[in-house]
Amino acid sequence: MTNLIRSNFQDHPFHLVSPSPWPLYTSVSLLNLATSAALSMHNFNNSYYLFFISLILVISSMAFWFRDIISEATLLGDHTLAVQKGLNLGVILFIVSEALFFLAIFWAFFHSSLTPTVELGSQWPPIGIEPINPFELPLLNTVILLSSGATVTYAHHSLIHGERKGALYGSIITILLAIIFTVFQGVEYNVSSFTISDGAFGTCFYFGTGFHGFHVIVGTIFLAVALWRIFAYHLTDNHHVGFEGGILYWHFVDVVWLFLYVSIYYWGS
Amino acid sequence: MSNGPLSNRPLPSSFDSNDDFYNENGFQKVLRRLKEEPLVPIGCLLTVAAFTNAYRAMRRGDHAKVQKMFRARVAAQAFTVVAMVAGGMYYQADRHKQKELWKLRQQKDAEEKHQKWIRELEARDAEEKALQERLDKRRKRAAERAGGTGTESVAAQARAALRESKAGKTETGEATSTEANQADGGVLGSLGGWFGGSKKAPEDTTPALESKPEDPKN
Repeated sequence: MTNLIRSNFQDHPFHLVSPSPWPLYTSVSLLNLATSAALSMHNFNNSYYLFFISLILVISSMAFWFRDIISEATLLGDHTLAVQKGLNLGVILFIVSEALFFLAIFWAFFHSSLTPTVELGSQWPPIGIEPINPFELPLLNTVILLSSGATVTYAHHSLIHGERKGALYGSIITILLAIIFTVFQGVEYNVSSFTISDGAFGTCFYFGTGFHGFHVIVGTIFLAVALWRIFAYHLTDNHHVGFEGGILYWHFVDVVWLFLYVSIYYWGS
Repeated sequence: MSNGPLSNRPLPSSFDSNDDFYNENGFQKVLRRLKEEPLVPIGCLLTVAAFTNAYRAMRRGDHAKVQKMFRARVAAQAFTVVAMVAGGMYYQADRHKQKELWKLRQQKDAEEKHQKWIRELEARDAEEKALQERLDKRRKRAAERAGGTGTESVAAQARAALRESKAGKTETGEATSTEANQADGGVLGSLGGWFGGSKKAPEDTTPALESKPEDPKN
């Protein structure tokens, strides 16, 4: 083999990424987003304009970045088995960090609720707070989220068995259930008798359920992108890292909901 | 079994004789609920175990195992939710009673506090009335003395004369400064005897004191 021919092959399974502007764009936009969000929360004039511009910048630079990754994976064949392993590890580390993030939220909740201070009337829920009945809308939401877990498992099952229709319908139903869940959470926020500024209870409740809701929205987008990629024949029965990551994320969000439901809605009321 | 009107009696509860139940802290509450519904924490643990196994299988690239673990995850979570709903139904009556009892106690406390406030306000009112009465009596006695004879009436007349002279001073506008008033007080004090010892003395000087603010303006 001459050197010229050898230079057309790579003798390792790894993906040496080409220069890309998106990491830098994303970093700068994130810095802008954080600072303008801090300014907005302190009522600086017109800082909300900057906040929304930064948000658009973050979303668009991330979208361009992911578009590049999708073309590397689907069209350029850069995602070998070794690279897939690395990507999976990335997804898992991300989910572990998310789990620790939620651990902090639960810590805050249990810190306030297990030994309620005298300002709360030494009781949980605090004096004057009327908690949401866990067996009304929250139970329905639990069932909806659990069903979406079942449908996403069905979609995964169909995909690894090469059944295109099942994968598509399973994903579509999952995304619909996710949207219904988000809408119901919005309804519940609207009709609840307390706000985020109603002491430790309101803060912990909206901190936990709000961030969970945010994760549901992110998971919905994650699965929607995977749905489009199934539809566009990007994903195969043995190469679907994005879909599997999305499913794992979705199951994680569902497990977090179980803990939120058990501790904040059920035992905390 | 029941004797006496129902509305006066607290709702019966299976925890009536258990004071610890009412005074439990947060950790005790969690422990009690863990014991009441052991299936819920077990279901949570199973769910987490299934999820953890799913991600370990995914790392190995074992799609079939991932699929199996996802199913186990959904099943474990469904089990937990069913256990929770069943537990909620099973303990519903107890928890409802407990809530009602708590509400009744809260109401009683509020009523007691209300009554305490009423008693406090009434006591303050009575105190004020007694003080007013005492002052009125004293004033009346002083007036009677002024109208009567004897050494007491002489003192009262002397006081009245002093008051007149002071009133005259203010009318002429000669006592221009506050120092004059202070001097009057000083004179009264230095006189001793009747004047120094008389409790009425400060009241007698009031007309002069009242005219005091007008003087500097002239």
